Amino acid sequence: MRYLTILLIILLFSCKHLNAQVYEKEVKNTILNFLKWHKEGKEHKPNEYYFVPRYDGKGTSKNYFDRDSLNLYFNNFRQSGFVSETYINQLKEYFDYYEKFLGNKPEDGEMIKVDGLDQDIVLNTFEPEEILDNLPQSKITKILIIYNKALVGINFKKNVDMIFQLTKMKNKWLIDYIGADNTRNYSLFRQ
Amino acid sequence: MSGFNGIVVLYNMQMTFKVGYRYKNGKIEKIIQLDPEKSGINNILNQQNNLSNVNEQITRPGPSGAKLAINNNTNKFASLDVSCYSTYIPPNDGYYVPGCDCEGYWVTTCTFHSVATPWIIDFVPDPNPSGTPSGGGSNVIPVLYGFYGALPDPCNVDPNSPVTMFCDDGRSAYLNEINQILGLNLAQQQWLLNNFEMEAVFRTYFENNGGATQENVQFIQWAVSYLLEHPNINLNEFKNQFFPITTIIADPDADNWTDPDDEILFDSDQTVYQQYQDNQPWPTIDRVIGYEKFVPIRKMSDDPTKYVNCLVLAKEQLGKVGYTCSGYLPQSQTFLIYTEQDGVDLSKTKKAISYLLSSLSQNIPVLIGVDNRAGAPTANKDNSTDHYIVVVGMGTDSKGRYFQFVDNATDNRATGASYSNRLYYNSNTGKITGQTAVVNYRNRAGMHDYIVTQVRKSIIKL
Repeated sequence: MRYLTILLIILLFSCKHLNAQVYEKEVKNTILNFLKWHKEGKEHKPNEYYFVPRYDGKGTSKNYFDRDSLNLYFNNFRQSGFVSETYINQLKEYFDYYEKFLGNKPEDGEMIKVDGLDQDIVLNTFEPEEILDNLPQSKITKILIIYNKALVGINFKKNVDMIFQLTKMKNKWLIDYIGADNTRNYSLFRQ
Repeated sequence: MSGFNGIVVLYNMQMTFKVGYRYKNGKIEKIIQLDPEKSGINNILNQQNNLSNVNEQITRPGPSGAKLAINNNTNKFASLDVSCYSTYIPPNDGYYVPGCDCEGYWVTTCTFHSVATPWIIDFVPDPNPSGTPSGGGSNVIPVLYGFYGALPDPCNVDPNSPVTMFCDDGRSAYLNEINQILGLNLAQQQWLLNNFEMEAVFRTYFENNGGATQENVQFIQWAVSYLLEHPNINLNEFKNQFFPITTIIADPDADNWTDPDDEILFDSDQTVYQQYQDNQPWPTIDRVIGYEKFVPIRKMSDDPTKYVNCLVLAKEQLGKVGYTCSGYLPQSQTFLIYTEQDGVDLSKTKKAISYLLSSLSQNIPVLIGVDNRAGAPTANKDNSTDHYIVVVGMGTDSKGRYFQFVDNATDNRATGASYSNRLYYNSNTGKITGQTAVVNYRNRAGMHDYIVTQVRKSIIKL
């Protein structure tokens, strides 16, 4: 009887550990597959244009990114099956932030930088290769999974660390948040 | 220079060779840079000093009535009567003629009536191939000349000297040639005649930038118009600004300007930069990337609503003079000098300034990052660098010590490469700040002056 009890405890522990390993693998696959999808530019479809500035009157509050065009962009993310609506809101927040700096309609056809549109929107950096070219050697530095939530830290190379938050919905992990892990003083995202 | 197919441009009395040109399909093309080690120029001179040797070769009369125009770098010009003859030079005789697919070429040798020293002033194509040795003639190319000996001061010649001086004749001939390309009006032609040193500058510009392309012609036309309208401009400063002499180390081909952002390039500069001391000199260094080499912003080819990354554009700007930089390497090749959260790192700022001084002194531009607006999207609140630009010069003005930069945030070269793009060093705070001349970018709501956040070391692009 005593041996049976010990055996049961070991089995229970192993199952739990196995479950954690499976979850960890699922979470990591979701993140890496999403980053591969992004690296291949799958959020951009032929003949679709997403970032169309609108200048609907005087004053900077009248300048914004065309919502219909942006929705095409967001839909491509939804259809990918990698991200949740929470992440779509993060993308929306990105454009809400940058449309404050849209400025007035360029005169005389002059082309001027539009902030936010010349960097990697998903990764919030001018140097996305630092991450996307290092996917094979990426390592989970920390992971916490509680029920249907996962918080993951991934290192891509020296000084390049990111945080991902995911939710399990309908038996599938979806990304809620992608951000910088600036724990290190020399983090890429601190510059 | 009527009667000559080559162009004689003498910059320096001591020079014994210079660059040659030819016209082809409406373009001026550089033909040869005579290398004294390879060209056999002394061989030519020896030949000319020994007329018996020359006479042993096939000779023919040179262009009649030829005149040699001389620019002795003191803005004095003369046209001297010369007598010339042409000599056929067979191939493989020690002359270095890259790109010559001919079986020989003609050398025109001219001699001043009054000067004992024979002058080799031009290599010309055979204007009339009949009677030439086999294969010679139609494909021969006009190349350059060399000269040898001391030139007389053309404006201080003894009036009794048999040398005939025409101060403008040589210029007129040149002007006719360049005017065929530029189509200048009378006022512009007169200006060029009065400022003839610019003629050679323009020719050199064509030579170094792919010939008389539409864009180059328009740029020179603009320069002439601008100088005509602004007579008080210092020509030397204008030349330094818009027609600098730079050495191209790498081919600035559009397809290979950029590198992957995460590349770690070997930095041959192992200098440990000491902190700049405020009592150290702050030299004036004119732009090390020419105005005409400005890289305009452009949209992505696959999505015209997105823009090419400013870091990529800044790297392309470096690539124009043969440099690039590594990715983010904060402990070796990137000086992180300012963040919104922690402010200025004074020690690193001063080291970065030492690096900038050293680089610019060697005509090396430097890529830097700047902060130009508060905050960042939630996903990375710690982000400070909003934009990348390239430092191309430095100096001091009424506002203080500054670095001059090129800003690729626009496709307008006039503002992107403006002289007024300046970042001032405040020795009290350590901040390096300034405004871009790209007014329509600068004036957007929420934007503030550029604050330098980082300096990246330049690496020779191999």
